[in-house]
Parts: sequence; structure tokens; C-alpha cells
Amino acid sequence: MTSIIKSDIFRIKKGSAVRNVFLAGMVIIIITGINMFNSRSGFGGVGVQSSASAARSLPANGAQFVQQMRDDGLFPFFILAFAVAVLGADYSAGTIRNSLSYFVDRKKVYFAKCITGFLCCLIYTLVCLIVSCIAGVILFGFGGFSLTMISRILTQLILSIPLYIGMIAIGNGLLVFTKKTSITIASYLIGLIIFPSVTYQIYQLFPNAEWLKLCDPLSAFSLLSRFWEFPLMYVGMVLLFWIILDAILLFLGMRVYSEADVI
Amino acid sequence: MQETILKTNDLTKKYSGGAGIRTINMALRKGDIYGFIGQNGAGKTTLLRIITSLIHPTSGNLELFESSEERELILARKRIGAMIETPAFFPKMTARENLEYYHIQREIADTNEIERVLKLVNLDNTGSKRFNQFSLGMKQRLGLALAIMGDPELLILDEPINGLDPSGMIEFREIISKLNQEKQITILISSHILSELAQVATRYGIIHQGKLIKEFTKEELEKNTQGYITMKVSSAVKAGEILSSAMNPERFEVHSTEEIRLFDCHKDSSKVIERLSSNGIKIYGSNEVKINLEDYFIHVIDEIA
Repeated sequence: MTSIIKSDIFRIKKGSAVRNVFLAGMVIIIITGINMFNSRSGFGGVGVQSSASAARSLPANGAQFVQQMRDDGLFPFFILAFAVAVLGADYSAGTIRNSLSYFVDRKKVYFAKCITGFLCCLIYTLVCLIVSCIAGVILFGFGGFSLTMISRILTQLILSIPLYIGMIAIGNGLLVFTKKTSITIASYLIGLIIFPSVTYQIYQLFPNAEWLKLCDPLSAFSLLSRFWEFPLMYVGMVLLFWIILDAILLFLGMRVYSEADVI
Repeated sequence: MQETILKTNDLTKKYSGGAGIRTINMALRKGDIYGFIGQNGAGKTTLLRIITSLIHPTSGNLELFESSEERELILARKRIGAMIETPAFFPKMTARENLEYYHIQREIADTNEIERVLKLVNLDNTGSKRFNQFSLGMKQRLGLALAIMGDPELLILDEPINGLDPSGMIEFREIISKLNQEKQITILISSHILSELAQVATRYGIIHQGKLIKEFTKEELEKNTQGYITMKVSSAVKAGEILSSAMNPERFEVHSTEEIRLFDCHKDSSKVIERLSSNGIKIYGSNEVKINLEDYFIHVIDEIA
């Protein structure tokens, strides 16, 4: 399994798709930071700032900026790019035949692809964290960095793991079902829009379970980026929801991947 | 007795569309170059896909390197190198990078392996040219390079000659023969270009409408395709009577009232002519008719039809 992950990392390094997503993430952070900085001095901001960060309060210091950047509403969309780059490329290039005629244990291959996608998410998070730290310090100063803040970010990172796995599993699952990158992208985007409506409808059935409204990917990412502001039960239930969803999605994806004919 | 590398037992694959394969029983012995012949849609690729586990059979099973249990088959399949249909690689990567990907993936220890296979298929000078800039022939060569990377014991090649130019075909034939003779690699190869197949294969299997209808060796093929001499004579019936007293009746055939066919008489045809002439049979002309693998294939298919 390690060799499959290593080879995919080799390929990702050679390609530009994942690198572009990383660059996009970094650029968004830098532009948002600059726009926030300009807004503070009365110049106002345009572009990314207007949509992504206008609603945010202006950071008082570097640490607050880092914290605000953790609430990255675009990340769920970016995760699909990782799934597509790792597993989707195999389908679109037809190289799946080369891999599966050699590695007959398809469960291993599928898990390896999911792990590679997950690693991309982690690296993306770390890269964005480093960039937001540097940008935050340059633009808003050293203030606010404390042990509590660092431990919160680390906890948040760990808590986000089920979400990363889940989103990769959704992307890979869609690829395995459709075998087409274009259909996968369309379904994924539609899914991201529909998901909150579905969880809201379920919430209507169980009005006491308010946490249900936070289970969709965008809300869940937002919740986890500020987990300490929510009741512990909400955080726990959202995580449980995603852990169960991960298990179901991974099982289904793996099953279809293992049993499908590669034509 | 030669070791059996591959054995299929009543292998069947049904598709919703109807085609597929039906109860295929075939065996591949170590050192064979098995030529797999069939029309489009006959089921060749389906069988090759099942052997390489790309698709699952509806029923039946196969033994690879004497392993039939699922866990053992997983290991056994790692001893196969395969190229199924048009070679697929990452389009924006070079030949070397593409092979490097599989070199890492398959944990091949030999660091010179990529250079070795690229040299073998004559792609060692492609430099920074990306796969999507390759010609069809180059793509085929790269597919072959991947298939032989890591020294497989069984090589499965589906239509590997497609797109190769004449010199490419000759090179390909040489590579196949070299791998078979020097490394004792068993090769299962399907191709539409039967004239090429006839030059490398040692055993053949004809698949028609999903069924393996005939298997034969190179020697049997030679025997069945040695051709005949056709003679236009004044009376074929009378000529037949004359010849039956002098030779085995299996060696000639009265084809029509004026045509007689002589089999296995290439060396002593002058004696036949002499005998017929001395018995008053006029010979208007004679021709040597050659049969190749294509003719034989069509003949076998026609027999079934």
C-alpha cells in the first residue's frame, strides 16, 4: 500500500493540478490578508475580500488572522481536486488498467488512493497554516499567539480528520460510481449545495437535534474551526455523524471499486 | 512435461449486451508463445481482461502458476506483465516518468530497469517528450516496456502490433522472440495481423463467438497450411484412378472434372506429371497454391459456420 501512495505522490509532484490548488489556497489567504489590511487603513478591499472575508471582523493581530483563515469556506470544494487528481486521473487516463492488472487486491489500492487524498488535505492545511501565520505576522503583527491558540489549532486539525476523510471518500465514491471526472465534479458541487437542505429536512423531523443543521460539509468545517464556541455535544454529534458517514462511504466505495469490471 | 502457467476452467463471462465468452478451457505451458486469434468481438480481450483480473468471470475459474485460491492468485498475478488494448499512460508525463511511476508502485528493486526496458523498445531517446505527443507506435512500445518491466514470467499482449510501422513490427517480433528464448517468458498474444502472429507464435487458439473452437501447434499449422498443387487436366477422374494405384489417396483430391489437387507432392510433382502424361492424360497447366494462417483461420471459421 505504501508503494501505491508513494507513486501517487510522485505523480502529483510531476503534475500541476494539486500544486495549483495549493497555490490558489495560498493566494486567497494573501489577498484576503492584504484586503483586510487595506480595509483597516480605510482603503477597502476588492475581489476575494468582498465575498470571503467581508463578513469577518478585522483581525486585531496576527493570531486572529490565522484563526480567521482556518475557517476556509473554499476548502470543501478544493478537496474534490485532490480526489480527482489521485483517483480521477486513473480513470480519465485509463491507467487504472495498468494498476489493477498488477494489484489485484483492489481494496488496498482504493485505501491507498483515499490515504493519498487525505495526505493532500493535511498538507494543504499545513501549507495554508504556515502561509496565514507568515501573512498574519507581516500584516497584523506578532500579537495573540499563545499556547491556547496553538493547542486550539492543533485540536481543530485533529477534529477535522473525519471531515477530510469523508470528503475524500465522497469524491472517490462518486468517481468509482460514475467513472467520469466531469460527472463527479458536477455531482459533488450539486451535493454540496443540496447537503444543507437534506440535513435541514432531517432536522425538521428531529427538532431537538439542532446539531443536525451543522452536519453539512460547509457548516461542519465552520463549526470545527471554532469548536470552542459551540456546545461540546454539538461538536461530538457532528463528528459522530461524519465518522459513521466515512465508514459507510469508504465501505461502499471500496466495494464498488473491488467488484466493478474495468473496461 | 512442461509446467502449466495458465489454465482456465469453463471460464464464462456474460455481458448484458450478449457478447462475452463461453466455457473457455485453455492451457498455457511454460515457454509457449500462444497466438490468440479471433474476429472483432469474438471475446479475445474479454478473456485477457479476466486473466489480468480487470473483469470478473460470471462463472468458471482459472489457475495461474498452479494457484487457484484467491489470495494465491493475487500474488501470482504479480508475475504477469500485461498490455491490454491501447496503452494508457499519464498524458503529461514523459516515457521515463510514466515508467518511474510504476517502478515505485511495483517496488521494483533494480534501479536500471527503466533504462533497460526503454532501450529494449527503442524509446530511450525520447527525452522530455510527453506521452500525449507520442505517435501510436511509440505508445505501443511504451506499453510493451511497462509490460516487460520487472521481468514477468507471463506476458499478456492484446493487439500489441497495432499502429507499428513495418520496421516496428520487425523489432517487436525480435523482442518477443528474444524474451521468449533468452528469458523463457511465456507469452499470450492476440492480434489481427495474423501474418505477424504466424511468425512468432508456437501455439494458437481460435476464438469465435466467445468459444475457443480450435487449438493447434505451430507444427500442426505448418502441416495444415503447406498448400497444394492444382493441375488442370483433360480428365480429372481418370487421373485420379491412375494416381490411386501409385500413391496414398489422401495425397490427392479430384476437385472437379478437370482439376486435381495434389497434397504434400511439392518434391515429386514431376513424377506425377510424368505418370499422368505416360497414361494419356493431358496436363494444361499446374499451379502451387499456398495457404497462410489467415486462410486457415477463415477455413476453420467457415467450417464452424
